[in-house]
Amino acid sequence: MTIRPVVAGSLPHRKIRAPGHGLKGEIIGFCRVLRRAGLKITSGRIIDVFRSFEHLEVTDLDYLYVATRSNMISSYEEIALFDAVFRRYWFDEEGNPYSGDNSEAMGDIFDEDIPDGAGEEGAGGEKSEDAENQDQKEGKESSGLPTEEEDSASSEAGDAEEDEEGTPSYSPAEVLGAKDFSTFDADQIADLRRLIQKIVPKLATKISRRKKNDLRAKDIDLKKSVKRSIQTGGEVLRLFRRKRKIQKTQIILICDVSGSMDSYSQFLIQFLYSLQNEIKSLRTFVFSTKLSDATPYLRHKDVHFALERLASEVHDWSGGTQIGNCIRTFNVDYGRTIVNSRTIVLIISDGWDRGDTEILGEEMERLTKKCHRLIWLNPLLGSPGYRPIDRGMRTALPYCDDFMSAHNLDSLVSMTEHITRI
Amino acid sequence: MTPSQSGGAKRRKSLEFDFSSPEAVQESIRQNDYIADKTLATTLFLAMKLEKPLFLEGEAGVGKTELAKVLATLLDTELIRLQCYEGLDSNSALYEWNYAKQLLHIKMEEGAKGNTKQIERDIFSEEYLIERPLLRALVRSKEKPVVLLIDEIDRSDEEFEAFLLEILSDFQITIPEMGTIKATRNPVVVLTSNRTREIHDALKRRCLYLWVDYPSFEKEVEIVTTKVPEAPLKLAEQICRFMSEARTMDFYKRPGVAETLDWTQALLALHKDELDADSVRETLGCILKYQDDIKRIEEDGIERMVATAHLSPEVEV
Repeated sequence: MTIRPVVAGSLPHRKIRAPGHGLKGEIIGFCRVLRRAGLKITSGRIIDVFRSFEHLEVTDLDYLYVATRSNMISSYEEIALFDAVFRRYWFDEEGNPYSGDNSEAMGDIFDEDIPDGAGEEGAGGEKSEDAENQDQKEGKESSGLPTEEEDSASSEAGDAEEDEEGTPSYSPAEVLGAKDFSTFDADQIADLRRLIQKIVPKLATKISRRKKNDLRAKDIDLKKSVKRSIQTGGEVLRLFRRKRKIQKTQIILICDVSGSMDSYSQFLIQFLYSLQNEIKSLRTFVFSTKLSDATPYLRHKDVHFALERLASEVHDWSGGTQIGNCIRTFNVDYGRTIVNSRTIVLIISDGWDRGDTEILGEEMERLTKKCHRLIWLNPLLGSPGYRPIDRGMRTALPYCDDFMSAHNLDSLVSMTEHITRI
Repeated sequence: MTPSQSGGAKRRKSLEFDFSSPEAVQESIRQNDYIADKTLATTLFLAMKLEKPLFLEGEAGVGKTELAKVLATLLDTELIRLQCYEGLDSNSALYEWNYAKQLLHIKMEEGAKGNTKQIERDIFSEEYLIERPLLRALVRSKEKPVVLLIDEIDRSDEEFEAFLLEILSDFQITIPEMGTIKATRNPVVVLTSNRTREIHDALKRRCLYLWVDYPSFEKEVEIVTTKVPEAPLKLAEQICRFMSEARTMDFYKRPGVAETLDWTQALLALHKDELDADSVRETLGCILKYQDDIKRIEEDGIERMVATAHLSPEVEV
């Protein structure tokens, strides 16, 4: 997440509200609006707000602001949303403090100018209000997961809108339109899934710093040995041992979907989808000239629907390649929060880069320092006579822990074997 | 924190901490050389009144840890700090038996033919218990609440978060061999996070949330002149203007307030009373900690930034 200027802290108006009878109701109404906006408002939190007013002058808007904000939000991303709702609820259009419960009136103005992205992890398309409500009812984390009710028509409309203003890098040449990935036959999909189930446990673990009991291990567990020795009158009869635990890792896939990767994309997208469904915590990003988070689309249960959505949302599919800039976007926007010493980053690309290789080098270095293992899968490596001599690949190679091919099922098998040997 | 900020012993001890209202809190904090705005003071006030843990989030070096220290000074109480790291477990956070000592005791008693029951009572007594920060906070809070600082919670792992959740909701610890220890007064808990990863919602929901931002220009000047009183006002203003400019740049690690204070002292040590490009270049290491960032600022033109910093506020507005 990039750092946005904070709106909070000082409100434009410091008017004192007239104490009224309906204030309690207004505050509850405000909490309701916040909940509708997507914040997790538990009754415990509401109680704490009221407890706060036992100590504070509730008629002072500054106090009202701090007391509600500190109790209601739990992350930086939620501040902007909270502030917007606060302003809309407690102030009229001229900026004068309101009175009266206007939670009903607030209902219709949601899709207007309340910033999205609060609490949403995915950088996916805009969510309609319905989808938000849906998430809430089900008590899900609002991770940008599209719900089934949300038809693709509305998302396409949203997408078109985004193109018009949101993306300056957009050019007609970038788009080859929606692709049909659904032509994979059932046998192939089954094969792929079986294979991925085999790979996943090997890919998804790392040796932890925590320990667990294991009598065959080398380290003696003094704590347990002493404790058990009490049973035998203080005589240590049996030595207990422990070893490092195997820990789950987070896997991040960064997949090249530019024009040069076209011939592999059917296979690739299937691979991404299967992997995403096997490892729930996986994050998938696709890029050509810019990076987008594909995780929310790929999480969908129906494969065809998921792939359709992905193809329609990622609008520079099959465009040119700017690996360096995309990795940079990744490092800046996501690197801090989701990459750590447990993360395995898999980059799938042919390394044909039309961007600045200097940036690529810099960003690869930064990435490789932060993650547990950086693996580059290059489909071209499968073709005989291929040498990684083009500029992009040559720059990136020194920073990769592994460099492997990924052009068909066989190559994935050999990748599995390789990872097993590590 | 910087050496300048951590001199707890030098700090004036406030005799009574008046927290009858947020304004009083704000004033007391200010007397202890920490500049707080109304939002911060009110949140702090609420944290103490509601006895809810305070969750401070913000970029590195904006004074999160420092706030906990000031709080301990204000309450005239002990600050117990638990630095988090990956793999932190209950043995290092809560308590641990001194196994080596226990073993020795058993061996010695064996020679003296002591009875087993007595040995057991002996080795599971307080003498053999090593108190770790969380237990210590509960034990010490019996007379007067201590300030428990759980620093950089984002460095720990999910296992520890879950464990912490349990402690923070009950404020009691059960040691099977000794019984349950419960604080009569809850300690004042401050958690900090640099936001290098997301903390689980369940934990954050139990806390009052406060985002600590980089200070505004005016506030930062106030901080510099309070913390480094020997710095001339002109230099302080130039430094702060340079810093707020630098924070708008695309650095991997943006400089915090701690860096501002470090830098001010470095420039004072070099006997500078005004900012110039050469001395900035010499002391860049105080504010930027990555080679890439240093390269970036040099490419961007230190001269230009120094010139901006020299502008008087009237011209700027």
